[in-house]
Amino acid sequence: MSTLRSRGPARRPRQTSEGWDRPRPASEGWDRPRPASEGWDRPRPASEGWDRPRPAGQQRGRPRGRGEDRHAPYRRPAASATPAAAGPAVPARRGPLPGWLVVGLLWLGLLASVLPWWLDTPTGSLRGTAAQLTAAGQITGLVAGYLLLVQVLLLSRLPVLERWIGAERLIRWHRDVGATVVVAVLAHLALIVVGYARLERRSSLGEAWTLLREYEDMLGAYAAAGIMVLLGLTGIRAVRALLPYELWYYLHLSSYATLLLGFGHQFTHGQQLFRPGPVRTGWIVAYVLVLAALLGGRVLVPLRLNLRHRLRVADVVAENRDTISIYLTGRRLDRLAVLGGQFFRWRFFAPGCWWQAHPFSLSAAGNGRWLRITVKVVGRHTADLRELDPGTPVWFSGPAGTFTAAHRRRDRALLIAGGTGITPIRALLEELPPGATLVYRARTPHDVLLGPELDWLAEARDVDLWYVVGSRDDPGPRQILSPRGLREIVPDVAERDVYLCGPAGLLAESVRLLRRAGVPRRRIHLATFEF
Amino acid sequence: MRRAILAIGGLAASTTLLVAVKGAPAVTPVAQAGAAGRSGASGAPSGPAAGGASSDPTAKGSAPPGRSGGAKPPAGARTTGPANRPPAGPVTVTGALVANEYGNVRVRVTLNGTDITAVTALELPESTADSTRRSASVRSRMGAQAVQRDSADLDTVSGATATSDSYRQSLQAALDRAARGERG
Repeated sequence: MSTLRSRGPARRPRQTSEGWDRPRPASEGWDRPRPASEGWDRPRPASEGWDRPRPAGQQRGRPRGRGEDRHAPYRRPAASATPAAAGPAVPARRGPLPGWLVVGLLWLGLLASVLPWWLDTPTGSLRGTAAQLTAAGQITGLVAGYLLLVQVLLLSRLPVLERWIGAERLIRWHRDVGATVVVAVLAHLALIVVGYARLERRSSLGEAWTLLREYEDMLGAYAAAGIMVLLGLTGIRAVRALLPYELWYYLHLSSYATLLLGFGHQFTHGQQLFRPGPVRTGWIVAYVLVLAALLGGRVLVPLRLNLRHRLRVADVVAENRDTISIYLTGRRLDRLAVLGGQFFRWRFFAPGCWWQAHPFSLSAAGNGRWLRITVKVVGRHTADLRELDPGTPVWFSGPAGTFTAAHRRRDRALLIAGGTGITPIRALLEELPPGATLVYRARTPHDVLLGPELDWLAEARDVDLWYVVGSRDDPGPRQILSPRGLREIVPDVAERDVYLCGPAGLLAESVRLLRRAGVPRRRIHLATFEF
Repeated sequence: MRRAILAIGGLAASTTLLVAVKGAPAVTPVAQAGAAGRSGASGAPSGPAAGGASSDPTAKGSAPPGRSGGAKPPAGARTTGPANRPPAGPVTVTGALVANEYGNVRVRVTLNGTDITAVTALELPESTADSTRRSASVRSRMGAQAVQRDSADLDTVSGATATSDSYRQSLQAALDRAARGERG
């Protein structure tokens, strides 16, 4: 039996028969920062000489300073021994309208991009296969050109998109649109080559060669198509899994080159675009807007954010054998508008780390004084993070994500976390209306993260908390992740929002289960690790 | 991934649909083109959606499309030289609509006696940006040459053989009509 339930003080302390070998303190012996609501008042570190000692049990050879007040900042003031129910305010609901608006605009854009062809082509004018092939080539060309801009826009990190659509959905769209762009570009290329070849009664290969050699700007267009096919291949999951992240990253950077390389031929040869006029102007304006979005979302907005907050690493704390929490402090964090469950992209200015940015969810809701991320060490980068020194400057961008209480549709929620997936859910829990149910899957008791905080939150916010520990095939996990088991712990599951975060396998299994239990897709909120 | 497949399918379907809709024979424009047409050559774009350039009815009527360059204008006196009834003052005559595999060609010529003072290309193939560019060079070079030579015996513009041929044919037809005393 490895399913544990925790709710309220009455049922605590919980011990398992099979040796829960990590001390799971109730309110005593607590030496971890707690949510701000509790009135925990840790001194704000100045940017200089921040040398907060780390909790015992850490494996780092760094000299520790000021050992005598080691526990002083963390001790819970006696006054707040009973957890305050007054947590961070529950954010107002946001509703799906803004998201639909963006989707509608994108579809309108697609129509608008094909419209010039429609107006330009008199009905009945497409006589003959060659003319029809060429026309189809023009349509696919226009569509590909537009979708390429959409591709860039989706990943422009524009705050509006990141917070309305959510990074998860943006990535999914980027994937789907990406596949479509590659096919559209190849279709455009093939149709135009064959169409022109038929018009001029030549072989298709010869025509392809002529286009490359004699037509202005076509060399770039061919190169762009080549890069796009390559990117499309690396986008296939199986291929991507084989590539080191770094290689994949640099290949993806080259996608900006396709934008540049493919730009010219649209205006020299595009039947709808080569003539000066409103269409050509509109197309150029679209390019300018997308580039502006890119510049704004990727450069200007983060720049402003970082100039305002100037984050630094305050401390790195081991949560268990392979998980660490990084505490960060900065200026004016009370003005950082972040919701529990959202994530930032982090770039740590330390050797080996500075050149890559990784998304990590906050593992505690914003409290105006410090931020925390909790990271599992799985690769080189995360291993390097373990060695971060306090004071290391941090560049971050965000917040992003719709995995928040603001995106709920109902006031009751079921949360399912797997392993490290608890981190955004831990933060989210602080802002959800009371009465949620949390199911926390972990392989072994060692893998249970942030346990004391969860217990505390369960008490403070009336959360039904279930630890489901064991491997996938153990009876406990199997029982609870079955339609019947789910109904037993949350009889009203079909009436709730469900927040899921964890490994892909657990997510897929849970979504299947929930859909069968009658939860509509729009009320299932996913936070995936896959980006 | 399922959505991507849907999107790709949707793209293929809608592209086919658009082409099919635009390729379907249009009733009204054909009628207009026919009404505004010339005496001899029928040449409304009314071919069926499918089929090669050779199935184009225009081609049969006015002039065979050809890359041979030897295609000659339709029946009628080939009088490039002196006109039978020299008209007084400048007259404007429109040539036949000549179709080739790239599109239609039709010119209008302004004559002062037998002196070509201006040639306007009313229609030239513009189905692709490239053919538009070729047509532009046909328009300027052959137009200037016609004014210079006062005849339809013009040099072929390189890279635009078919359109040059059609241009010559249409111009010749216009000159023939002018020689017969027709106007307009």
